[in-house]
Amino acid sequence: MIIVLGFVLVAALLNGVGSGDTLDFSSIDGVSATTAYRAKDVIADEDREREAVYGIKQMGEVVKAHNRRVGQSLWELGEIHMQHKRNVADLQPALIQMDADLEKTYADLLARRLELRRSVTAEEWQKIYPRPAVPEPS
Amino acid sequence: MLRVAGSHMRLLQVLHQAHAVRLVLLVTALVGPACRSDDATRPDYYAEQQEVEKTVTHSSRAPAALAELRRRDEIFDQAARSKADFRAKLATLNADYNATPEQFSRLMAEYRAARQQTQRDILEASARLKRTVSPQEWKDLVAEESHTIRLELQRVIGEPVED
Repeated sequence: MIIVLGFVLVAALLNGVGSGDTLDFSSIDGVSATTAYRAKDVIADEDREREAVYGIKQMGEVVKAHNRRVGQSLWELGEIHMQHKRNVADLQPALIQMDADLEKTYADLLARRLELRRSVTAEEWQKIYPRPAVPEPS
Repeated sequence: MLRVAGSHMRLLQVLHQAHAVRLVLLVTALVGPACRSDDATRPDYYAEQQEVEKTVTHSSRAPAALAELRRRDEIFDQAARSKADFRAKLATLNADYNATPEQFSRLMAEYRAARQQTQRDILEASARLKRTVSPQEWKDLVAEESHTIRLELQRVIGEPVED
């Protein structure tokens, strides 16, 4: 009762932006809205602060919309895979579509990152998006 | 470590007899962060193994099906490592105010190649798994799975999926 689920989970790993994903610049550390709060704290200028917070929240919306589309595609993929007679060729179009969707979402988020940069100084940026700690070697 | 893993397995098997679907969630908690990504829980090999052993009784097809499941889990682990590596590099790049679009593009292209290879690997593994079981066995294996998939996707995506 969980055989196809395994396949769907791999596809989800590959194609989901997911909450807390690094590409979701609106929740860089995995906590939704934290980045926007940081921007509020860090940017003193009201106009720039408003622009930055709006930009960060919009990126969150892009990710949410992407996840919604991916969820739907994964559901359809699972339904196809559940039929024994359906083969790899039947699964491929949905996977290709999800891959293209992911690339589009990445491009959209990166364009928004560039846009956000216009309202934030280098010093403020470092406080909003601190350099991640290097993990200890295991 | 092996003893701990063994006791986890025994515990999981007992729990599975009690309630198969809840086991998926329990395994997530037990296996721990090494096998998780932020997007998806690792496929539950032990629960799947029991499903296959119960359903596919043919002497050579059953081990072949189990081998394909193991292979698929290896693909998942490799994909999770690749994605974690991509995320770490991207977070570092993003922290650099002066990072250029070209730097992002290079990183994206690198990850895209890894992701598409995984996509191909998982398709092949899934096709081989299907070929090892009969239509009736497959039907039994996936019976009532829609509900479980729906619940898990809702957890991963954060929103319900529709028919």
